[in-house]
Amino acid sequence: MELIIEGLEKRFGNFIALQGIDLTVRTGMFGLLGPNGAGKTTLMRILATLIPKSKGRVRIGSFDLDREPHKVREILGYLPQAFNTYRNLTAAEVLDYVALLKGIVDAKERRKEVDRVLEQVNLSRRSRDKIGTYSGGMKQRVGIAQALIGNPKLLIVDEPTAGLDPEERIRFRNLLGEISGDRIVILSTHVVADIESVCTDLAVLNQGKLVYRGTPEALARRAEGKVWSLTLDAGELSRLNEVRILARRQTANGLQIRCLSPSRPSPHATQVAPTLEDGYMATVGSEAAGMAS
Amino acid sequence: MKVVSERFRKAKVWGIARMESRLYLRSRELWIGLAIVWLALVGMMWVHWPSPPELLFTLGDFVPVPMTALVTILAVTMGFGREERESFGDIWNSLPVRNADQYWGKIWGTRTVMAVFVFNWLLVLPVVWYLSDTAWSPSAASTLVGYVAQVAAALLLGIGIAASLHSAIPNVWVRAAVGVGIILAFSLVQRFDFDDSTQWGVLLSPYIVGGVPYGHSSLFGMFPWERAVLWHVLFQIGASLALVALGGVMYQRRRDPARSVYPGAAAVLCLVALAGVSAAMYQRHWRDVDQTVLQQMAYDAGTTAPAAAVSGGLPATGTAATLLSVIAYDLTINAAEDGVWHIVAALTLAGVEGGGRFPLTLHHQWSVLDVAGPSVARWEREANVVWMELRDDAAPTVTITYAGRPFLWHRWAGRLSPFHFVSARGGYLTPLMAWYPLPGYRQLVDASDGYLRLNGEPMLTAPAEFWVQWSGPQSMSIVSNLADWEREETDGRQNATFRGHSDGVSIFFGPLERERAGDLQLAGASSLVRWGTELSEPYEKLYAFYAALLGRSIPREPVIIVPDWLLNIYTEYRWSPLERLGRYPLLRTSPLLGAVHVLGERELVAAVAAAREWRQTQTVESFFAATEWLHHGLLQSVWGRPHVHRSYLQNPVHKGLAEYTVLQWAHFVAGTDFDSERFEQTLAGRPRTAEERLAAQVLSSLQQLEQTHGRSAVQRLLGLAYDRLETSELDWGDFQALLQTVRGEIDAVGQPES
Repeated sequence: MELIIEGLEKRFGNFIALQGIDLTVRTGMFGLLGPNGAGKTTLMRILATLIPKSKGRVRIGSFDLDREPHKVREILGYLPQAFNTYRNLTAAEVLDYVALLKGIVDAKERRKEVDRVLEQVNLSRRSRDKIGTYSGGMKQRVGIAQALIGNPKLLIVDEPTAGLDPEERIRFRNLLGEISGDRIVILSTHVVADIESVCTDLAVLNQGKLVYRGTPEALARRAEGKVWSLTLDAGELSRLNEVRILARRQTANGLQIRCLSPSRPSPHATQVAPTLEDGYMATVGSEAAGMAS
Repeated sequence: MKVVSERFRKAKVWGIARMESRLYLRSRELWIGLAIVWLALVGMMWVHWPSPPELLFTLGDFVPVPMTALVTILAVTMGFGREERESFGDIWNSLPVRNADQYWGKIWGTRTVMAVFVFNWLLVLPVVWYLSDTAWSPSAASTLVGYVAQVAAALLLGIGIAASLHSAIPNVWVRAAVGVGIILAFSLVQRFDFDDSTQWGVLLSPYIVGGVPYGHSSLFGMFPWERAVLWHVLFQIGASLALVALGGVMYQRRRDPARSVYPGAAAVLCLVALAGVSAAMYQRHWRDVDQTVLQQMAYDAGTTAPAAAVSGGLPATGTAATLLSVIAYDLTINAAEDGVWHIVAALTLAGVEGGGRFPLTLHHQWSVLDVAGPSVARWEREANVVWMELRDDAAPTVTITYAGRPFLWHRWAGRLSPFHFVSARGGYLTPLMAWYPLPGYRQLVDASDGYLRLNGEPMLTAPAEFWVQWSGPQSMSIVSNLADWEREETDGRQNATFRGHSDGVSIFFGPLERERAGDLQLAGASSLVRWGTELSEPYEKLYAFYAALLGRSIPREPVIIVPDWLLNIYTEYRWSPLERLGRYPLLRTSPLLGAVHVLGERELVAAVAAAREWRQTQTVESFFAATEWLHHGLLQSVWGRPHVHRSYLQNPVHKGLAEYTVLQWAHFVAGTDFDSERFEQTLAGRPRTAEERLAAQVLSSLQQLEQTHGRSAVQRLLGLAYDRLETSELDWGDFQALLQTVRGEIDAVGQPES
């Protein structure tokens, strides 16, 4: 199955949230990276049939998003950015409800499906507890569980690790890695580490435009020859030109920085191999990373 | 595939409905709302307790029923917006459920809200009935049906408003506020008079039984407004379902534009048509009644005096003063099951010697079938008049046979209610509207200022002998201002005979029950008469006092409990003597049943509550409250004679006599606590018409007599006046003569030792 997006545009009044998005996504784990406000959630909500697009065409498998939104919903699993659900119900009740609404009308079949996804997200033992008593991570697992009900062909997961502690985040990434299988999974996030661990294909959005499309390795290579490591005094930092600081750490020997620069920023600087994050920063070029004056 | 997909759709709709039901039952909003309604219900009942259940619900529904609608709107608004509030909205909207199915699933889920509230009310009703120790009656069934219909309509209205607002307003809190505002506005509209501009608001009001246009009673239930109530409920149901359907169409249009809206729109149109037809029928009903009132007023007030001259002279308009008089009536009434009355009226006439053309006034809603008699040559009907031509050898008897089912409405303070009517459910007939032939021509009403006023002038120059025989359906019972002569039940029919010497006959009938406690006889709705027996002690005290004051044995008049709305027509004003006693009574200028005590249902409840309080506390205030209305009735029976269908207050001499006896009563009850000086200052400060001044003069004459000749002199005078009223009224000259007589008697024998 393929997801094909052609010339997608979305306007909110005069504000252009998405412009000229052309994308083809095949089966597997696909990452969508971008800073806050890039348009990732807007794109996810369009694909999830929640908001209409202003221009362009989207096909999911054999279904046109405009003409057959109901068909799209039948093969869709969606975990939104801020997931919550009925606090007075148990996880089993919520999942049973979602299963019914997804078309599993037979009660026995529903029970089997609910048990399957609960097992998959490791919530079987707490399934009879009310969701209001769950931790944030457990709620997210309920979220992914409801998205997995009915074995959807298209799974959209929007910022799933936001607000999770490191352990939960790792657990979630592992779970995502397990479920890609023979479906399209679109993982939208601004946390590069989430993409790095599970995605084989990705795109980068910035200010509503697609600024990169390719593999994580190729994205990392974009920063090749431009990533430097050096140690200097704090006072010397201001003398660096055209340098984007990626990381800084105060050591006994001085300020150790990792930076992005088209040329060697200092005679003491050492070129290092770029990571995915470096490639992302090189592509997005965000000022928040801390340009040296 | 289509069959399978349809099965899936239905399963989803019912799945959503079941989930919604579960979520409602687990929601705080619903149970807090129910608790609020319970509190309102219990609170209102506590305030009005003790009362018969029908009255409790009539009084108590002003808060609980609109509260039910408000709570329903809030609960359903929260229910419809649940996904947004629980941050589940995006998932909810991305599920493969057609948006119309989501909507209808939620609508079906609101049946839980309806069930909870209807069950709540159904639980309350028998509990209240049990606690109030009241027997079941036909009006109780009417109350129950009315309440369930009312609550169901209010619930549907709340659901309809909440559902349609959900599709129109995105923000859940704004929706809730708008919904509450709508209900509050339509509840408040019933604070205003019921006219063309407020009729529409009343249609959307969330309560009915206690509503402005209608008059629920323990005796008759919602009669005679049942048809209007039916249209009212149908309109609310139609409008509510139309709102629900409209909400569905809007919801679907917004979320699923490709889907056809024609089926939904057609459903909306059908329901709007139902609501529209019901509203139109409702409006038409009131318009017809209003037209009837106007026509009746125009007819009865504007019917011109007969043009032809009459023997013995006849005033062109106004009173029954004429040479023709009736000295005896023999009325035989046969009341059919369908409410039509067939009457044979045999009249013994005076003043017809020499023959001639004579008018009798008989309301035009009675169809005259025959006028017969040894001397009747010819007769004809003209408006409210029956003309008879009597031959020279005019025998004094004539028999008029007539039939009908008159129904007269009246508008008072914006409310329309019947005031003189006969029906299969019951009725009331006042002689002032000539339900039997009155001598001469009489204009029945005056409507010169736009208000209908009954002609209160005496109907007969002197009281006549009346013999009335009534036969009616088994379920009916009848009371009259005349004394009971005989009652029996034969062949499934109730038969009653009344006789007496009176200025007229008034009739009240319906499914009356009777109770007796000592000398106190009561007749009225079954749920009320048992309550009324608690008035026996105050009643006895009151009568005993007056008997001692007048030195006469006073007939123990029965107490008839009538629907409150029957009392609407009569002019109300305050009478100052009892104002000073801390009460503000509203008197009726035209007594319903002559000298017989008449209490409205709420007046009875208030009197019983006061009687209970008096038994516990023995306070003056509570005793006055317990005897207030009985006292007014007693004054009418003592000082209203011989024209008991005309208020004693219209005769200044009678009024002065009554003020004196009330003053004595106040001293008797309150003792030294009664501030007579302030009372007299109030009397002195009243606006003074000539009649007021005359009444004051009578009062001060009696007080002077007491000072100069002692209390026994006054009692003697009162006794003589009482005797005199058996045959004729007193004027100032008559009063002066009595004063002279008593003074003379005392002076001749010397004053008794004080």
